Amino acid sequence: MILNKLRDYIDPNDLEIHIYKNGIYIVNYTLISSFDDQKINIDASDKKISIIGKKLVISKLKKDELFISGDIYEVKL
Amino acid sequence: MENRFLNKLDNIIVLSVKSKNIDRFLTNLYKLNIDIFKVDVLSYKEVIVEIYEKDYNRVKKLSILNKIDIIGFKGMKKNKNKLKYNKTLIFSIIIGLFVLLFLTNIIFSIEIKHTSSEIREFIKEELNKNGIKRLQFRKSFKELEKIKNNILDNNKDKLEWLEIDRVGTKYIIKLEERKIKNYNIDYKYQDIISNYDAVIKKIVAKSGVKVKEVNEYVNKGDTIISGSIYLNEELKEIVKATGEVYGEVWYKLSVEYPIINDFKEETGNKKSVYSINFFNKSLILFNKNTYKNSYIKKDIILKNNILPISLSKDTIYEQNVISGIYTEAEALLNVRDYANEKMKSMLDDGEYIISDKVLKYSVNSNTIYMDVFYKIYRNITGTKEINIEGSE
Repeated sequence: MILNKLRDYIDPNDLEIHIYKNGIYIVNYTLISSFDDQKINIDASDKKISIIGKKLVISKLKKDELFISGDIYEVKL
Repeated sequence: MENRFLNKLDNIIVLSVKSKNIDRFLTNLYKLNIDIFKVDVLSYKEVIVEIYEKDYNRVKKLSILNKIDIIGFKGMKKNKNKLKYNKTLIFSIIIGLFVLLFLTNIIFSIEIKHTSSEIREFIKEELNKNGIKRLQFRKSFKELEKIKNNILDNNKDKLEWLEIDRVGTKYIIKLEERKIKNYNIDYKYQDIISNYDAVIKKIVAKSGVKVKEVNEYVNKGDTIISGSIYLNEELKEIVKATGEVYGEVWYKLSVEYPIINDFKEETGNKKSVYSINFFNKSLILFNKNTYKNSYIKKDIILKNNILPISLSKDTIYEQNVISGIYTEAEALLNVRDYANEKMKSMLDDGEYIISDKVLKYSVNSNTIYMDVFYKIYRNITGTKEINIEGSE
């Protein structure tokens, strides 16, 4: 129990979405289901996320995290 | 969790990709599950991508329709390249440091401070025997002390005092020759003479004729008790003159003595703490009991290359501060005591200091230099053989 809590604290599995001025930072996603420069669809464990905007670019992509930059208008959960 | 600092350890390359369809290239890149650190879209035909070097071959496969060029490096790869580019300079600096270290540990000259060339030669031989030579590695303080004591022990009859100092790449040898008084040498027929320039204070003549009186000034070598006995200016008899003569002798002693404000010594107590360091400021963590006087030895555990912040394990050593000589007046008193002690150590039984006077003193680089004039009541007895053939 404590070990699980500790593991979650060090390496959390929950989906996190951080909205910044210049983009959106998503942690613990599963898959980028589709994307173009106006819409990006992302799958997480039990959620689907859509990011709508203009000139969208996945400017950082790693196993568990990604950063989307561009003019973001809408984030749908 | 973002590993911003760990990224510095990765080999990252910066690629310039020119493609007719950038979106398709990026889609392929995303589908290949390649970790991307940064994407900068310059135009709809050109993009800059940062990826791991290990993924480069996989990306290269996409270059059939795209033009992919490596335009830079980041992380460890950048540092490796910098090292590679500056390897000659770095190698030269390291070699230079080693050469400097090597040269500063070599002794290039040995200076023996003594007026007698015989003594200088003798000391040189003794030093050679003990392994102190030119163009050799310098010895530690302990080794020098051992050699010094060894030379002094082996030459008790010749040397009074010896000091080996290292100044840079040079040894400076200071010494004092042991002068054995010759009044113990007995001749069959002898005069008692003066061994020093002095004013006679006491004459104890056991045999022979006194030719000088008390309070009379004598030069070194002057006869005081003669073994030649004359009667009406005619030599009647030659005897062995015996006796003891004491006189007032003058000395000028030059001494140097350090002025030290504080002596610090470790009490042996120490403790380990952790601290966060920012520039030259330190925040010690969980430190309940602090020492009044201490010094800290830092062992850096974590360090940030960009920010001047670090985490260190500190060992705090407790110290006792013993106040030493503070004022010049106190220092002068100490120097005078030191000079008196030094003078007394040169005297035998029955000899004593009549008076002393400071001639001059100067203070330079935390050291006091002082010249002291001494009047000493001293045994000045010496002997000189009487040549009978010459006398007859």
